[in-house]
Amino acid sequence: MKTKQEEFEVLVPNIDGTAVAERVKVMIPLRWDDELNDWLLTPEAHQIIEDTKARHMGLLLPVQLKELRQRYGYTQKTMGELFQVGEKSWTRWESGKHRPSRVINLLIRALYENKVSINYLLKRAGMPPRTDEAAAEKEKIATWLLAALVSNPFATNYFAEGVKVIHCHTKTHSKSVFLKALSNISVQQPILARSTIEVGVKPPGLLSSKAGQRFDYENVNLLA
Amino acid sequence: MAQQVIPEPWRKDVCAILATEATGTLIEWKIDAEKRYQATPDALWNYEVYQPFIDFLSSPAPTGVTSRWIRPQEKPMSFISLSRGSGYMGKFCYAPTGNELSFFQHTHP
Repeated sequence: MKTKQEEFEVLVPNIDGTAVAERVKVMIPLRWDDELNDWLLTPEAHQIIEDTKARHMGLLLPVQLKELRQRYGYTQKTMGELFQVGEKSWTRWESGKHRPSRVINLLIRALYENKVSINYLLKRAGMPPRTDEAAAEKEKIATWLLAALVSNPFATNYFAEGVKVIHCHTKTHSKSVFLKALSNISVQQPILARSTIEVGVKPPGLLSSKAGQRFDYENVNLLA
Repeated sequence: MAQQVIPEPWRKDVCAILATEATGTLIEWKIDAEKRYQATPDALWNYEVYQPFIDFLSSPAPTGVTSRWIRPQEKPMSFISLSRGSGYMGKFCYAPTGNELSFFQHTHP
């Protein structure tokens, strides 16, 4: 079969599709048809043209859609439900047979780039939240808590590698705030994963503490 | 050439192929057709033209004209012209003897 590569100008439309926003030159494979006496586009040529157009329009490519789905371990049916478009639409997008509209692509891209929470979309679709998302939230709180403890001038912290108990006390945060944060700490948090935390809150009016002085402590066992 | 009602068996077969949306395999595009399609306002993806043609061919007694643009050794060929909103025209060559042979060309009227 006679084939050749030829330069082809892909016309990328503007937002409302009324004019050409950009012209992009690509090389595409063609095959010769003896009977028609003409060059025909191969499937690869169509894919190159459409992918180029999609990329320049800011649309996610089929491979990226698949990657997004696999990130969450979902089926194509679930993705269809998540974006409320139906299984067939998602399958067609992922196979490259069809392309998502610019509007729905905005939402998909937002999720792809972690600009929107998966749990938000799940909630809007009437689906249960993901537990790993909840874990990510806990992770954030744990990070915040550590930063708060370390940067707090009134806190006395004892962090040591291999030490399983972290002592800290502060007067600038209420115990309830700390306990709430601690209860949300994920075991995925590397520093705290195998630690027991003791939180102490100084009595009102006491601005300094003596070394080793402990009062009103509560223990939180993260492995529990 | 005079318009004539497109034969039903031909329409049925072509619709079945168009429904596959198998661009580049069952539905072949000439490079000239691709260039003209891209230059058409509102035209974006190739598959978007298939359904309007299916709708047209599924309508009662759609008409078209026979084409002289045929492959030499194949007999039953057809050429249809139809419009879709902005005035698309489709040329199809289809030989019932071959199950993969559908040729589509898109041009401005």
